[in-house]
Amino acid sequence: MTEIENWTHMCTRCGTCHNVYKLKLWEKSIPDWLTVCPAGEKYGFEPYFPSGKMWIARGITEGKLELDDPELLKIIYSCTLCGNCEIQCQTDILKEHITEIIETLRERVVEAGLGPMPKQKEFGEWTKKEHNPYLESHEDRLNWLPFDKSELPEKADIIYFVGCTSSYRQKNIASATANILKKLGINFTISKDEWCCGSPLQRTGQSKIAKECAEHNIEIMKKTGAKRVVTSCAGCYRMLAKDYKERYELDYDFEIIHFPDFLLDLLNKGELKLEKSINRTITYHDPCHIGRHMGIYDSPREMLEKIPGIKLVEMERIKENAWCCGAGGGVKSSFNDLALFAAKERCDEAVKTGAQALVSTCPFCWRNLNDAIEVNNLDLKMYDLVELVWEIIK
Amino acid sequence: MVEIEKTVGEEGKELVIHKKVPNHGAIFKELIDIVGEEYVMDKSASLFVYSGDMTENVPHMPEFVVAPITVDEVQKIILLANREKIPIVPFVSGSNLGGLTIPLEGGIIVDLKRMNKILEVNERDQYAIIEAGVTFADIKDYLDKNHPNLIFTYTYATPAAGVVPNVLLEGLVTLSAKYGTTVAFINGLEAVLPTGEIVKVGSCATSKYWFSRNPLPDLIGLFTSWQGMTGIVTKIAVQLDPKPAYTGIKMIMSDEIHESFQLMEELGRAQICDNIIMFNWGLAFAVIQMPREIAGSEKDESAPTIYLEMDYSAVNTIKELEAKEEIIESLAKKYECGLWDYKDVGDGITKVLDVPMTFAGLFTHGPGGLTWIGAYGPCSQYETAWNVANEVFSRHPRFTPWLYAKTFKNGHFGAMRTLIGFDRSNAEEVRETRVLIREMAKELMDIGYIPYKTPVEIAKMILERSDPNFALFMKKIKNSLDPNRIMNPGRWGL
Repeated sequence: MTEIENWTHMCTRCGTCHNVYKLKLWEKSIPDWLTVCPAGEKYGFEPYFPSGKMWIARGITEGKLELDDPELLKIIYSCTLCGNCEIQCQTDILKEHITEIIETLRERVVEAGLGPMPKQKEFGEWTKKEHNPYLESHEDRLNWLPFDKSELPEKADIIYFVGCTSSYRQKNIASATANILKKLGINFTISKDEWCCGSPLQRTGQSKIAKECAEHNIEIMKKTGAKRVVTSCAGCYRMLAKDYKERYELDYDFEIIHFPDFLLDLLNKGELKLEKSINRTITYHDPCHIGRHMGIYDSPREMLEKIPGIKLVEMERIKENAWCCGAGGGVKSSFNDLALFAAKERCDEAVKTGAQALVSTCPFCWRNLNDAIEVNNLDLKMYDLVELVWEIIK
Repeated sequence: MVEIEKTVGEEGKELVIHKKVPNHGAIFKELIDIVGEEYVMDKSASLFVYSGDMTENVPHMPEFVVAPITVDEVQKIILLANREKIPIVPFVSGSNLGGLTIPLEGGIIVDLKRMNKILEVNERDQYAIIEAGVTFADIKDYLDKNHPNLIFTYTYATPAAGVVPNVLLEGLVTLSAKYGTTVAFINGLEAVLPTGEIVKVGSCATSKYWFSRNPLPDLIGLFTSWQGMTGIVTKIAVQLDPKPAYTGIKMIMSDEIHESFQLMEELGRAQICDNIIMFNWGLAFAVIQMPREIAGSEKDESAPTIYLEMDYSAVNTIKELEAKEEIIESLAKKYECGLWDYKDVGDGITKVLDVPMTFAGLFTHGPGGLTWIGAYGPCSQYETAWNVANEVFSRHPRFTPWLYAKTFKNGHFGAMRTLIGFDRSNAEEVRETRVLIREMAKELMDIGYIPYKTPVEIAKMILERSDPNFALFMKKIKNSLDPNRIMNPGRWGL
């Protein structure tokens, strides 16, 4: 029995992964048993909870289930891979591998020619052709740039890795990030030949294409001679900082920094000054890719609290217990109803705090949460942290 | 009996697949018409998840899974099943440890999780009316936020466990020393009978208040411990209690088994505790995660043999609590048992105190299998049952003995639970677990205990030992309520 097959036997289907697991009686800050799994809560059936997926994985490894089962694709792909179940599961070993098992299942259906979901397959094919999953032209990748491309040097100390969502959809985040870097006089560049980081492909089982993207990106970044790479996208950050090294075993020595961390460092060193104030009550949504996956919880909050006039109020489910925005793992493209269900629940939680604005540090979270705000006509404004900073220093 | 198509996998890892009904497609379509396309499943991947549970009981594939959200939908599903004579099995979380949601004859699993509304909390009359899929997590969270002066009793199961199945199956809870099993908390219920009628039982049958099951003929028993064989309960009213102003917990750790059980018996009769529970070393270490310097890393001479936990509370004054403490201290002294304050025992104890809980060390022990024999019996036989359980475990040394005993209803009866963790990937170990379970049930019954939440083989053993007219009476009731034998057929061997 392989290691991964062995893990699939460990799940008792006890249901601990359905709710926030409260460790200690006296830790009042941890909410009581709030729900954590968007797919499980949306569809209600056992197979959609993480434990159900573990059982299906076991069924496949034991030869009791076939990969071509007509319901299998929907079940294994309607998961945002947010990893909240890994926080709540109390089974040693298994708890570290739940999302890995789901990703492996996805890889297996892709290898068998049965997956991924049709739209996800489309963005895999498009990425091979135009290096982004949005069916956009590679040539237009820098069209959002608020200044002339010629101002971008070939060599620089820092590379801003923009990512596809900020390049083609949430251009507000890309613009604010580039504007801040320029305004602060940072020696930075952006590659004209940046490809998708590979995250949407990796998460949907299309790891071969993801690896090609990773290899290309490392190669072009090395050419700039930069020592540091900043990202404004949580998904890109996780890929560059974790998957490129651990999964694809690529050799590089750049320091990968998520942009809010970069800003906080400048602020602490006095190189960024926030002199104007923004009088607003806000709440912060932890993106899964930097939060649970990479352990960044405090620095965005610290940064927000240092913005004059900002009052940060917290939602019930925060940090490692944060409810996912619903967009990740290929869900936004293939199960938009599930994505909007999860986002609505998150926005409702934000509204309950009395906040006027919901702030995150990921363009994909921004997009999905903002979609829920618009669809449900909620009294809430969506921001990325960089937009607030640019509002002050511009 | 629905015909078996095939059994796949070796004994210990087998899966039973039943023949499909001839008009499968038409039934599927009709189920979709009732609940909508999103809430019916009939493909193997989904069905497999419902085929078994964490126990050693043989999994059987259902033919459909359906998730209704209204009583009307439940009624239509039952009418369809009754018309077509298709087996039907109610399901919430499937964590009952008795294989009770395994569809022994295939058919339709009715997953009730979507029926998760808390319909009413009556503060003055101290009850909550809840739907069939409400979990312990739901009710605790709801009461804490909206009625912080009230508590429900909480199970020794996961937060995702359903309240309604638990109370119908005589669960064991945090107020058992005072009230008994969770059946005692039922004020009334609404159910859809196997023939489709919607009935109310308890005061709600006559009054607009769901205040009690008295003084009408008590028909609640037609649904409790019947393992879903007499209908689908769609709503239930459960008794709530005032949240105590003061609470206390004391522990005794001892090697003096005889004295400890005498103390446990007398504590029950003293009527001062909410919860009295005795763990053996294995369970204390696995669940409470007692610090090793206290419990020992392995059971050696330095580790205490038993751990007796006493929870008590006072709704009104600290003096009330202190008076209870005084009685506990005096009884402990009488039996020469040293008392510990729970805070001195370590953080792990909170895993037991903070209910609903996960029993993290059990459900999550690694190899993925967990089963038990839980049995209720007379207080006078506590110690004998403890010794019998240890003796059975000693014949199967590959399993760590996990035991606990509880006092119920002010010392009127008690529980003995023997839990077995096993490696579900090892067919030989699964087979031995089945042997151990049968031996444990038999030997506890020999001394007067009765297993509950029983898998079908053990239920059959109970009926074989029962007064023949008791089994006959059960059959008559079952046939009268469910003439087409659709509700969870095969349970109790009926």
